[in-house]
Amino acid sequence: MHNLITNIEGCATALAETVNINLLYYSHLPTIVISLILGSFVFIKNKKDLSAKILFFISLVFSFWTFFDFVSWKSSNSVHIMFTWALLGILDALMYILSLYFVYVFIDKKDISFVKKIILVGLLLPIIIMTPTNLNLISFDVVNCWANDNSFLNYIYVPEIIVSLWIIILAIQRYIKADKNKRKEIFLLSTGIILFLFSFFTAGYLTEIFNNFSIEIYGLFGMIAFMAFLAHLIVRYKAFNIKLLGAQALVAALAIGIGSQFFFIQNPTNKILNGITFAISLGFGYFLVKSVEKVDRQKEELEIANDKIQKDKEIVEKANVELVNLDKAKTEFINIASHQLRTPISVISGVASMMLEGDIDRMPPEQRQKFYRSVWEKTKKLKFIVHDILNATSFANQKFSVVEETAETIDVPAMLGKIIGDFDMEVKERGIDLELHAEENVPPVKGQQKYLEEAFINLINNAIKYTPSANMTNDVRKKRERGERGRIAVSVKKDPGNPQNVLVEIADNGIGIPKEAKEKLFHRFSRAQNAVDMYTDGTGLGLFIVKEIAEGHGGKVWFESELGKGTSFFVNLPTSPKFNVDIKKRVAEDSKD
Amino acid sequence: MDKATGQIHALFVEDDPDQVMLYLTKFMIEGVTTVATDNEYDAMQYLLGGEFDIVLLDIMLKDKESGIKILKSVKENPKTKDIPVVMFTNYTKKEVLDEAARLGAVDIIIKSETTPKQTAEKIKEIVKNRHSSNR
Repeated sequence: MHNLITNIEGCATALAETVNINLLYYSHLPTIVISLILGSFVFIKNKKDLSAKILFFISLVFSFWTFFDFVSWKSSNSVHIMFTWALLGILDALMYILSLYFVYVFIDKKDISFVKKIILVGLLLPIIIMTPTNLNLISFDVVNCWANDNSFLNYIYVPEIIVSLWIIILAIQRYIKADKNKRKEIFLLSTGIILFLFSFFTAGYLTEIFNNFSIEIYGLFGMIAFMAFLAHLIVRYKAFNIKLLGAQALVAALAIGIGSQFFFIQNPTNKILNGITFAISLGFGYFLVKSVEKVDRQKEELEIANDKIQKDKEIVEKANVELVNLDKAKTEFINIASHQLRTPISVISGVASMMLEGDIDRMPPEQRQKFYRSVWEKTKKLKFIVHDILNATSFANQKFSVVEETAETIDVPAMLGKIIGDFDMEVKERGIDLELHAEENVPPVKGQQKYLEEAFINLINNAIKYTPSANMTNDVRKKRERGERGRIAVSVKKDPGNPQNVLVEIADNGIGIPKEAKEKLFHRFSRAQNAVDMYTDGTGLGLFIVKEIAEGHGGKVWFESELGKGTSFFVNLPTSPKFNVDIKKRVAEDSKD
Repeated sequence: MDKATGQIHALFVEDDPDQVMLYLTKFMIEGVTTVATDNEYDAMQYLLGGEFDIVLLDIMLKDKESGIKILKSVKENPKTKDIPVVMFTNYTKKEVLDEAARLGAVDIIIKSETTPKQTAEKIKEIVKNRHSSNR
């Protein structure tokens, strides 16, 4: 019992001789608080983030180290001292290894490889093994009240040096490869962490050399430097995706700084004064943070509003471009349409003028017949173009849809037979075979015959235009020269995929549709892009009208085409359609194009 | 122009058979002998091979043929550049007509706004003026 008392007295004396006890409070307790606050703050904000987890672990290990170190200084109990002292080495090495791990994950944003993990554990392993043995601590020095450690413990410098160099090399490598912003992050983080490890290492090393334990205390301030760099990373670069204002970080640091002074102020007056300063700082800090938060919120709102304006502007600009394009297409369309209207008019009026001038009367009957026929053909054409323009205009204003009450029951094969009959003379003249293949028992469809007729006339007209015939067009003529006869097969049957529907196919062996034309085939003015360079007969409205009519009947139209081989258009018509229901959908689809 | 008969020789570039028939017949009645073709190659062959007093050029032609392109070729070739070219068309886009004038078309006749007889008279007038000014 006497020995123990002596021992305690001896320890107290030894402590007082080696280090200022107040400095011990100042160096150890605030650093624990700061590192724990920042570590757990980052962890709470990013529970799933690996780098946040590692950082939290580092702050824990650091806190344990600092606390144990504090106990080994402060305690007079040899058991406590021996226990905490023995664990310092392993915690020390662990801190270094975790720091390296942290740098990897923070910069690369991913976990390190298994091999690297093995290496890191390998570095730690000797210390783990040594810790409970007398390779670590040999005995307790009652006189100096400290542990006598084994020189094997110097192994601890191995992982410390390896890890420190590793971090420096890693940071430089990553820095070279990184972009400007990332470089700043890498620089701040690695500088902070190296400063921390370096001061820790240096302090420990100098302690050994000079055998002056108070130097070790200053190593802890490296942690503060690291935390400051980390806080700056968070404030400036939103590291860990944390939004922290500079003012918030500053007030927190101030509070910890002032608060920590309580540990070594002895004079009661100073304690009161420090308390007042502490309270005032907290109070002002609170208002400062609030007002900065408000400004920051406003700034954010402004940024969001700005973003929205920018986006709106882009939308308006895009719409403008589209409008300009549409306007161009319309102007071109008007040019073509007026050309298409003028052409038959000029022939009809030309022949009429020759009649008045008596030229036609003087002609032999066969020639006269040719002139009359040209008037007839041009009149048909004129009628057709006028129809197209009127329909397209009306469909553009309002989507076409069959009205249920006025829907007729239409026998599709009969209707197609009649249309094909009307084309008889034209196809004979052009040397094209136009045939109808109708399956038996094709169910009737509901709709408006006038419009359906127009749709099929349009499709058959197209097929004739692009199919080998005696009449012009070089590509088609080439086919004809190869001995291919123009052939258009119109077939009508129950849709094999859905017997409730009627499927019409108009297949030709014409020139096919070029790839670039396929996409916009069913659009209005699709032909109107470059009329002078790529002129073909027609207004470019026909397929748009066909699509509107087919969809207005609850059906659809599509095509298959191979360049040089021919084209098949398919029209699918339901026998008991639900009219009107999908108009909105059709409008939405059109606006998407 | 055939000095003995006063016949005018015209080349008509046109792709619509009805119009070819109509104008060829009326021009013949009016004393303008006309040859018709629907493409640049044939047009240049005709112009290089024979004596033509005037060319009537449609603008919108099928199969990637274009009256403007043909006009350019005629005006670029030293052997054909002096033959007067009249744009004879129903295409009224201003930019295209302006370009035709710039390239050297002597006149622009809109088909639907004239009768074949008026056109024939216009042709004769242009050829006559040209001959008198050349003299």
